[in-house]
Amino acid sequence: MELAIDIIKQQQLSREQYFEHLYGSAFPKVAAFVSKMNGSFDDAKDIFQDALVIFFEKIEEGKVVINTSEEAYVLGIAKHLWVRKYKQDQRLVSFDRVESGIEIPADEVPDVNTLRLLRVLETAGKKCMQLLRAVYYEKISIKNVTNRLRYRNEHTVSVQKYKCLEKVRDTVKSKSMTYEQFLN
Amino acid sequence: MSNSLTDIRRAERYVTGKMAEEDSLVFEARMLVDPTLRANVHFLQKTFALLKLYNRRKLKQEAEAIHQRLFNDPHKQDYRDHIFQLFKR
Repeated sequence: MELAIDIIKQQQLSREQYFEHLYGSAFPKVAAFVSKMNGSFDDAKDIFQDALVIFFEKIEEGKVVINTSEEAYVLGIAKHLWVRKYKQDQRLVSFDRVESGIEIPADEVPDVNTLRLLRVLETAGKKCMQLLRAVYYEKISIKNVTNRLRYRNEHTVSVQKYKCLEKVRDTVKSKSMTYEQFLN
Repeated sequence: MSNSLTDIRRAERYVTGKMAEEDSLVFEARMLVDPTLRANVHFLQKTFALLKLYNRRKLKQEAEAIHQRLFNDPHKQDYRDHIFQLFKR
């Protein structure tokens, strides 16, 4: 089966174009499902966006073999998310064979301390988080990172990557200890 | 290169699975006897777990931007009508 992601990769289209494509093909399916479960438009939007993110992450990690269409796979993820989010009886949602085999990452719903830490990093460590995301998740070349995040040169970026890992790690360390003390 | 930079490079290679098996074993042996190194590696693993969540949030923001565009584009009226139709009760 020809998948949109392969076409996107061949033609070097952007992630944005891919998301837009899936918005067109998969959102109507997810919305129909959510509506059937008596959910609202906003529920559909939220569940669909989370499903899209998980789907994309699975593709990027190379962990998924899609033996159905992409929109069917996204719908499958959305169904699992629905059951998890509303703690609904799984039997009320009909899963086909492919859908029942889909796994949702365990860290999909982070705990309170993790969320608090994430907020700290998003504000105080923004530049480092951007750089590390670009390198490890968006897999952008050092050269392109240099241009995009306006670093002086490629060497700066290579060094900065490690400095950022150290900096974020130290924040995580000190904050984790504070929260743990707070709990005790 | 400073010592701390060498340490973080090594820990990064270990945590991201880029270290050769032999080196990993040596590294793990060092961790056993060095509590500071052990703690640093633990928090580096946590850092990568947080980065993953950060990446997800950013991706969701990108999806939201597309949502806003689609639901405000005059050319996408049919698409919108189709979706809204589903929620009419």
